[in-house]
Amino acid sequence: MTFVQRLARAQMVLGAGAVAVGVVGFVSARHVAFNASIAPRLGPADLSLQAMSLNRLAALVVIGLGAVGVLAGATQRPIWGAVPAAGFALLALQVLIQWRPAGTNWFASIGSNFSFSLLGCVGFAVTACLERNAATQDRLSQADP
Amino acid sequence: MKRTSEPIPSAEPMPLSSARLMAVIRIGVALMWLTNLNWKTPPNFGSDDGGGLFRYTNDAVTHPVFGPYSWAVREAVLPNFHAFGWGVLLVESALAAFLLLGLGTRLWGVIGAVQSLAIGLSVALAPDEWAWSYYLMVMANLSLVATGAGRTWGLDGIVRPLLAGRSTLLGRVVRLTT
Repeated sequence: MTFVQRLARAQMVLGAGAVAVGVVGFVSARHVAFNASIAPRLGPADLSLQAMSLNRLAALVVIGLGAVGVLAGATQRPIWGAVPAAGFALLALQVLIQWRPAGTNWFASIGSNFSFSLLGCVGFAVTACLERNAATQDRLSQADP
Repeated sequence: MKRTSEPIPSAEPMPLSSARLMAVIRIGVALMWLTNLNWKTPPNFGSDDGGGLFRYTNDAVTHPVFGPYSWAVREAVLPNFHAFGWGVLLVESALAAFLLLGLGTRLWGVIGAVQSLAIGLSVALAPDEWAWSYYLMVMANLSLVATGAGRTWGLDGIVRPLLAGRSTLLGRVVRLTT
């Protein structure tokens, strides 16, 4: 497997993971308002395995970003990897600004949402940068006789 | 017989099954950090009702494990508790994110071990706590450092072969942290 193929696989795994989290979040939040500021947490509480909370609006955003990430891996074009990186950066910023005990919280975010968003942002940013670097080196080596 | 001054042959590389098991442990440690972010709620982090992160931090003073650490918490941390709370939230968020990605795993393993030690020094002697939890947390994080657990099923496995051979600062950083 080539270096670029490994990067593409990493992007597809990250994207598929985000889509899976979004789908679970969407199903978990089916009994609360579409943009509720508090939503059920994902995972079993009695096993101390709960992390993240998404309302259906947040779940759709995460599914969308994950799908673009899968597309980035499938097309092996760095620009598609930059889109979910920027999107997850904005999601992380939303948590820092709006996560409070009460008040406006567009995506029903809690602390672990920040970590998840950071994961998506860093993961897609690093893979997109490395992919762009590899593409540039390929072009340079082809131009060099 | 070989002379004692001769170099000992290096150990065999880790079998794939062991490397995969370490990747599972890395993901488990990351999930531990992830699932414990939810009760560190800004902006007060429990200082308004005496709960949450504030309660556990204050345990370093009310149930001291190590005198100098207890003094540092009383004199430096508690008077600046909001800044400390944000620091804990950001560090533990990054720990979960980077360990799940398997990026810079050896660096984040060291940070996780230091953070586990700090938590242990705060709460190990508090009522209903089991001190060995914190010894195990330190050792679990150090095991990620010892084995470079991000090289299998992690981004370190992509970044290291590409960059670690370079004689630049970036190459040295990648060699040390992945």
